[in-house]
Amino acid sequence: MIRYLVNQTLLSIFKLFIFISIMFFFIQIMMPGDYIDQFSIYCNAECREELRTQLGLNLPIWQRYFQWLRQIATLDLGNSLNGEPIVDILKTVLPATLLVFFIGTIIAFMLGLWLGKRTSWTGSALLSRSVTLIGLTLNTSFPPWLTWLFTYLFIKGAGFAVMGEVGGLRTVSFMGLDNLLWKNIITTPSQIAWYMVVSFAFSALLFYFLKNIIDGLLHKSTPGLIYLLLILVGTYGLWRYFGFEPLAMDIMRLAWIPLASYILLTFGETMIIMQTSMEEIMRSEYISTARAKGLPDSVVLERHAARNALLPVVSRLVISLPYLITGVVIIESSVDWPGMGTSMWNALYWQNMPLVMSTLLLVGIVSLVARLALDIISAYLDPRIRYSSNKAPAR
Amino acid sequence: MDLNNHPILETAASQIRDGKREDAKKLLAQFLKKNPQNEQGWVLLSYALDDNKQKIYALKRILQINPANTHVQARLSQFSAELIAPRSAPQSQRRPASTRSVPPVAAPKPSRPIQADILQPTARASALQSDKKSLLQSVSQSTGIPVRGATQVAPPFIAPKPVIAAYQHPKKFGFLRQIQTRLTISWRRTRMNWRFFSQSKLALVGVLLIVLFGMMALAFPILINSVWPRGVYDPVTGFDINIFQHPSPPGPGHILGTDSLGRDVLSMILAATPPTFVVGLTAALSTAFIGTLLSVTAAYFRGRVDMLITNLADVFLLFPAPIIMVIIGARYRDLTPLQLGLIYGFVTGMGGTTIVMRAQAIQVAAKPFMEAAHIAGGGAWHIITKHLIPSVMPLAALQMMLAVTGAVVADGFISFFGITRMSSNWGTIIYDAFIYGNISGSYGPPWHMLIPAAACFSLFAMGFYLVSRGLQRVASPATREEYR
Repeated sequence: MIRYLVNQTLLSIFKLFIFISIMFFFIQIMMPGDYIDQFSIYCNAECREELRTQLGLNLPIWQRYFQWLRQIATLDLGNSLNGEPIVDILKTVLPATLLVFFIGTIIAFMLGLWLGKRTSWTGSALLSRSVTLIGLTLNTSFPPWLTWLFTYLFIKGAGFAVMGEVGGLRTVSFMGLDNLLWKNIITTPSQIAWYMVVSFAFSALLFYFLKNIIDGLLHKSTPGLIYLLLILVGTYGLWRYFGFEPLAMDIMRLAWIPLASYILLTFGETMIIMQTSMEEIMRSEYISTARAKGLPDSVVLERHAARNALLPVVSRLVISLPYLITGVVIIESSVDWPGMGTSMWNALYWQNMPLVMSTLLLVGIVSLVARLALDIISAYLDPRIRYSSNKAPAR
Repeated sequence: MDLNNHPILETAASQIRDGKREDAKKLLAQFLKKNPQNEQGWVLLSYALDDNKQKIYALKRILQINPANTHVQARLSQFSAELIAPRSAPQSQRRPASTRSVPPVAAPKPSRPIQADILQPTARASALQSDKKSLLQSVSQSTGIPVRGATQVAPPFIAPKPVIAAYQHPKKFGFLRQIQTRLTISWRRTRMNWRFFSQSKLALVGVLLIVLFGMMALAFPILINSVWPRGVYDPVTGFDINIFQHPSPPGPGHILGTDSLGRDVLSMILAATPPTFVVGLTAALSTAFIGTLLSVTAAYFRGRVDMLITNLADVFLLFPAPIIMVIIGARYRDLTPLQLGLIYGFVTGMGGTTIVMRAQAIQVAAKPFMEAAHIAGGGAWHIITKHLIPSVMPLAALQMMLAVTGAVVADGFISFFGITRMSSNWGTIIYDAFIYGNISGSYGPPWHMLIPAAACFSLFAMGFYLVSRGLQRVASPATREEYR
């Protein structure tokens, strides 16, 4: 197992290297012009050359590539082309993204799981069919439209000026925060967002262990929805306990729009996969056996059916993780949320290559680490899976 | 009949007597495999069988062994006559010996299949009581074997009619006949698949939606060439001079109103349908092609090839397809829908589709029938095309449908942000509504633009998604088991 993991880690690093290299050349060769050209309105050719020499953009592309690689190898992300250290940019940008997409993924996952379980279990065809249809409609709807609808319906009614700039598109951002509240506070919004994410994760873990202990004692299963509500209440309690609750709520007042639209957009997919997975499980004979034994429905559903249906759902989630960056870019840039997606999108637009590449590197690391974690989790969930070092598992 | 020499035959006879025809059939089949020349075995089998054609075959075998068996000849002619005209079979041709416990002269019921008297214990008992001789006679008649004590009564010989030839296997198939057979088989298969498919109502809704969009795509060229004057209804340059303030709400002449540039919204939405179809279908086909090719290659050759393809797919999984489309669109500004679909299909086909399909192909390749195909001497090409590809095809169809959804949303996304200078699109309609639609003005948001375009998005993608779920149902072996 350990040998397998080491092998896979080395392989992952190699894959990451290939991905980054392809993207480096692909973007620079494909996109016309460069960073300097974007700001060249007041600049003649000589001036441009000078600026390029300053930034090192006059070198041939392979030289820039090796320079950048050397930098990455020393674990230094370097500076953005406008002079800021990239680590600092990512530090401010990442918490906002995590606030929406980490929390959103977990909530959507649990909601989808719960709905998928319920709709495939209960007999009410009309109800389950309509829930499926609603989930599908939301899942296939056009993301910018959904975020815009939320902004229009709720933010305008709340009474603060957000229908600004471009026809109501660039609407929600940290710019909308309450100035009075943040006047005498040293911590930045992104730091508070970071605390919010950490407290959510802490609450989720805490209640996960509590749930396991209680379930084990009572021989029952807590429904997923109650667990979800407990996590949310626990998170709020933690915010209050540590005293940043007003600030957090001020951020949430803006963050809930991308959060809600992200949850609504994605829970349908989990629900559908859970349904198909459950449908196959429900046909197997051990479910009939369990029911014939006289076990209550809830136990059969949670212990026998849902647990076995979980693996395909989790693996699908992890495989679709790289696609998340697309969703991040689409949703964040349609509400101008100051997260990683917007930052990467703007960097791509201005051809601020170091920033783009660092963001892609981060995404690649996260998704490959998640793949490794999936291997471990699936070995844990499914005892039939055993890894030997020279044979890749059939995913 | 002297069954004591053959315990198997005796068992079979008792099984037929008890009505366990299936068991008897199996037993007799095993027996006849070993002793194909056993006449009595064939006689018993002819009683155990249900189907008239099969009976005729068994009886013919008996005649091959013993052409002098007049009883069998009679039965054969009767069955073949029944096969041609089951109702109008003349009663006079029937053998009186076939009646149950009734003296042979009594009129038999015409539609009842012939049953051997020896197999009926009650019949035998009653016959014993009445007349032992007649029993022996009936036994000797029904088996065609001389029994001691029974007088041989030759049944009337009726020659088999030549119509039987129609039921013989034709030695040579004509070309047309082959095509006809193939068509029949594929039609039957389609009908069965449709039955599985239509079990799910949601899948039917999906088909309905796709048909609706297909009609929309067809409607635009027809309308613009017949009813709608080009100057007013052109999706790009149209302008209605009779309406003062654009955007205008829905009204006569403009069912969905006009946008801020004076163009008809319905015409724009209809005109955007064919390119969307092209993007979606191109993406779907290219994804399925690349995914099938790579996954099947990996599953067949395993080893290094498999490792290479898997790792390549892992790398490609990291590429965000819409962003790639945007980057390529930045260089080649006028990308056609076909090219966009190809780019999307390539990236997802090399990535996610290959990963999902390879898992399936590996599972299939590990099954025993693949080994059998290898042992039978199938080459790589034969095994891949005849065994591997058909078994991953359903999954490929599913991935195709998912690719449609992804490609359409990606296409809308990149045109929504105005990156490429493409033909108008549902995404651009929403974008125009946001940017020029006078959202924050006195008129309010142009709902007549936003809602139809957004609904088109959802419904188009959803139609394909629902169909893919139906296909999954068809492909899943579990559903087949249920309805078999």
